[in-house]
Parts: sequence; structure tokens; C-alpha cells
Amino acid sequence: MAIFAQLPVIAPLPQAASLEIVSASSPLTTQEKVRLGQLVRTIERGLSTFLEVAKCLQEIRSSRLYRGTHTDFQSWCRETLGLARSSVDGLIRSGEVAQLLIERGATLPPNTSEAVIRPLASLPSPELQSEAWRLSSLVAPEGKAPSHTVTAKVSRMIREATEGESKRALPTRELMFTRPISRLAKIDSFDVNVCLLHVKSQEQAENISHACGVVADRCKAIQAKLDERFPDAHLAGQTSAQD
Amino acid sequence: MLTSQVKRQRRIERRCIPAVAVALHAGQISPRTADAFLRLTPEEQAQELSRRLSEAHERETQHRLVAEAIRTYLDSLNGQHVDLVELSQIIKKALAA
Repeated sequence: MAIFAQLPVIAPLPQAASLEIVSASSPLTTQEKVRLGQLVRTIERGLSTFLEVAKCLQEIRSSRLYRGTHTDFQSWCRETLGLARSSVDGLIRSGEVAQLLIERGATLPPNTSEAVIRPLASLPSPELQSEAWRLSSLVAPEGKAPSHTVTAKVSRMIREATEGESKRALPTRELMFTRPISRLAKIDSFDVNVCLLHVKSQEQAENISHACGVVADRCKAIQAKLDERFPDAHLAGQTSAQD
Repeated sequence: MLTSQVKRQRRIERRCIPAVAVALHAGQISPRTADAFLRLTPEEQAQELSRRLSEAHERETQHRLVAEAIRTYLDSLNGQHVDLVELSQIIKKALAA
């Protein structure tokens, strides 16, 4: 709470927070022009915390303050800030989550960045976001604030436990085996001596030899299974090897 | 010039059944969803709305259960390290029950 409480407060416009739909063609009033100037300056100053920036961007978007110079928010983001609309939307979402965490009594460390909060925004309810932050604070190394990696890991665990493994989940063990094998097979400049240059001790040699034996056995089992399911697969493999 | 949002809002107000308008104003469905309802007959709109609201209610219940499971787990830690695998199992069990 500390750092965010100390930030200068930007007074909202009377209608700023409202969700009223502003017509794209209505010209900016003097008050709105002044307000847009204030907001853009705040964003450009690159404040140490993203929360205030997110609030400014949200206000520009919801009040359509960009309409004086641009037809849509997307082109305003690109030309004024040099950012993609998706990045700005993400920043706003993270700001909303951070605000919500503060309102629910969480303490955000002073150096909390947008990247740390971003994974929490993917959780479907404020209650879950709040618990995920609490969990992240406990998972983080003692005395340190949660990092992006920690919040991403915690959020993914919660999502997967809630919704089942998504398509973006880590690859299955089978894919994790066959993909590297396919990649290794594609290496043209294979040289046994180069591969073993770094081997200096008996222990290393034993470990590598054992691993090679295990991989060879598994590859043979895969070949046997493939032969059962696709009888001509090994012929194609031999032809390509000869080429 | 009217924005697409304004046009959508007016279209919804003109053609949707009252229940859809109520759900929209309560924030239970998005304007986009309400707009999609307009292609349906009034009876189908009512059915679809009911289905969506019950799904949303189920999801909310599910999220509450997950949050509760995490809270209970964290409260019972007593200074021990968090085990995310164990917590994941706890969440799955809570949802299955």
C-alpha cells in the first residue's frame, strides 16, 4: 500500500470515471484538452510505478480523450506512446488488479512492476487474484517480493487446477522426449569428438554413457512401436538418411 | 457519427427481451453477448440467457471454492513452506467434492 498511497493524486474529471459512451465526433472541450495534456505528461514522465500510468491510460480510453487527434485508441497508442493497443490494455488491466489488491488490504512492495501483476489478471475473479497474490508472497524467497516468475507459476497452477490443463500447458512427457530427439537428428554437423570435448572425469563419462544407453533403448522402443503403427515409416527414415 | 457502441446499445434496447436488458444493466452479460442474442427469437433469448446465467453462477461458485481452499491451506501452514503440487491436489479435490 505504501508507495501507492504516496503518489500524487490526479483529480478525476467530473465525468471521467463514468462509463458513458462518448460520441467519437463530439469535439474536445477546453477542460478535456487540459485534462488530456495532464494525463499524457504523467504517462510520458515514466513514473516509477505503473499504477498511476494505468489510471491515466484508462481515463483516456474510457473518456475517449484521444478523439481530438485520432480516430481510435489503437492509433493514439501507437503514435503517441509507441505502444501496441494490446500492451496498453494489458497495462490497464494490471493496474486495475493492483488497485483491487490494495483495496482488499494487500501490501504491494514499492518496486512492484506491471509484469509482476500481469499473470494475476488472467485469473477469473478478484477473490482468486487476491488469494493468488497472498500465495505468491509466501512462495517468494524469504524477504523478497514476488517476481513475475512466481506470480506466473502460481496463476498457472490455479488456472490448471480449476479449468484442467489448457492447450498452453507444458508439453506432455512424450512430446518432451520426441521433440528433442527430432531436433538432435536434424543437426548436420554431428561429431563424436566435439560432443565429448568437455568430458574430463570418469564420473561424467559414466553418467553420459548411462544416459546414452537409456535414450538408445527408448528410441528403439519408439521405432518398434512406430513400425507396428506405420509399417513404412522406417523405409522413409532410411531413404532420408541416405540422402 | 454514431459509434458502433452507441449503435449496439440502441439496437439492444430496441430489440431484446426485458430480461436481457436487466441482465445487461446488472453487468451479468456483456453488450456483445446481448447483441448476439438479437438473432434469436424471444423464447430462445430467454433460454440462452438462463443457460448463461446458470453457467456464470456455477463458475462463481467454483471460484469461491478454489479461493476458500487456498485460504484454508495458507491458514494451516504454520510457517511451513508452500507446496504448490499439494495445493493443486487440494483444489482439485475441493472442486470434485
